[in-house]
Amino acid sequence: MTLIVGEVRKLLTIRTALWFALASVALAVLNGILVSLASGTLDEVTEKEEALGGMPLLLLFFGAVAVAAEHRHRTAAPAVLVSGRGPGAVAAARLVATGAVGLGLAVLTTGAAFAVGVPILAAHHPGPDLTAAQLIPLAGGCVLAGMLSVLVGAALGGLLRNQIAAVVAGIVAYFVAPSLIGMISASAVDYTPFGSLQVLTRGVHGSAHSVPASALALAVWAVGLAVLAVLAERRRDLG
Amino acid sequence: MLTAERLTKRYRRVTAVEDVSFDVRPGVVTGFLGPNGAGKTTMLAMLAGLVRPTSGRVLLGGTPLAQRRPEARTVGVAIDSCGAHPGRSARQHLRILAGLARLPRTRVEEVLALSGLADVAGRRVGTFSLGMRQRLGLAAALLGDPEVLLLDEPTNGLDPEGIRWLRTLLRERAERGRAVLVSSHLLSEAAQTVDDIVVVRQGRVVHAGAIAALTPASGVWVRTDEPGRLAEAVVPAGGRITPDAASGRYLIEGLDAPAVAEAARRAQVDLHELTPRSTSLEDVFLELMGARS
Repeated sequence: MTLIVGEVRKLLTIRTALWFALASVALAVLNGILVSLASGTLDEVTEKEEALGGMPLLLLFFGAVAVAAEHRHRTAAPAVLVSGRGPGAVAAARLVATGAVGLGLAVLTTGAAFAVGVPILAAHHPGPDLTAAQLIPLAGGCVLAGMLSVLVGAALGGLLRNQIAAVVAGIVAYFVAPSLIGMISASAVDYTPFGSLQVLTRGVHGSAHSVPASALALAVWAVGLAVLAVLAERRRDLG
Repeated sequence: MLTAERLTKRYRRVTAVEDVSFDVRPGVVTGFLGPNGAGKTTMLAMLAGLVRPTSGRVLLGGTPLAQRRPEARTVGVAIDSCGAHPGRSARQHLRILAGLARLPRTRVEEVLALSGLADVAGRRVGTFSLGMRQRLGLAAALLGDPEVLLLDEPTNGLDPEGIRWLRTLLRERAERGRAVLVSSHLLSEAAQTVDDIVVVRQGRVVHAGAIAALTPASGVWVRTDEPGRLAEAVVPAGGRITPDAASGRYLIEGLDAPAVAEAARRAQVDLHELTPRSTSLEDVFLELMGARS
């Protein structure tokens, strides 16, 4: 627990989290406004849900940048040295801490998007308004997608130890890999992080996967990459 | 306190450190000298447990590092791979480390004062000069008042006052029975501070031992018009006399200056110069480097 608290303090004492929070909220609000006002008539529940959901790309980048920064600024080694714990334990604590801060960012982003988007949808579009029973699972899916994206990014940052490489790897994992996989098997795309995100944020309709199944698929990706990052850290030098 | 036991580190085909063994003793400041690329930083990182040796092991108080990981109270480290985020203040950086080490916040203020950073503790590290960053690294290493201190080129960027402060700090720690290993390329600085010396070249130890044994008074330079009579006087007393054509002087080895003066007085040989030859650490260092190149 000491390690996790220390790593959370690290994240909260630099501006990275603040800037990503501001950018992510601004983007979510902008997305909500643009989609709600400029997408023609949204008169179906699924269309309205889609207008509120968004790809948590900035949150993915936040995880990648925050964790890779530990190596860029050589702050990973002091944490290992003073704590008396192994690099693997410190890396695991860092990923948990980044995930926890990411959860906060995801809640903030989703909250902002909903606070702006829901009234606009209700005021400007015909058809049924979104009910609490529809909004709550959608919000939950968006928050979960955001937090797990942070964890995916953080794991990539830990694995690659380079901010640019980690961001590029995140883009490849989310956008390029699904296209390549889709050429082999269209149904396999649903199992990729991008496919799972699409279901969680209602970016796609009629998927063969349910929301819980997609959440599980994304969680497996995130946790799997995180475990890989921790195992790699245990085997690598910090000098 | 800290023992390197046949340490070797290879990066693919490059051998950075090869079969290195030495002790960092308590109550002693050990100097770690070597030219650039000799493997000093890799060696320090291995001693700190940050880099895993390809073979060999490091013992901390007789226990392998694999079984006893260093922490703030046992080993304090200020090497290149230990940095501070430029966006954090010095105080935030140290508080985070203190929290990770379960040390009280009061200790942070103590080391800030000790390292002369108290007045700038609220400033971002990114605005610090090299010397201030060195002091911050030292403050971080001192947080847990560790048994062993490992410092890589700690005088880099320090002003003369800072160097004197560091020298005093290291001597005080040694007097309190702590072990200190400090790498440096400033040989004159090392000569003033260290008790033991480890000289490395191309990843190998070429000398390890007390500095006093490395830089003994080693002969007496004399100038005389009667070298033959002087030789007759000093050789029976155990001296050896060698002419130095370049300077026109004679080097007498095996006797100290008072003994040479006494022998010359008894033989009634006039001496125009009598100068003890002391070997500087730099001379010995260059000799060690050259002798094995």
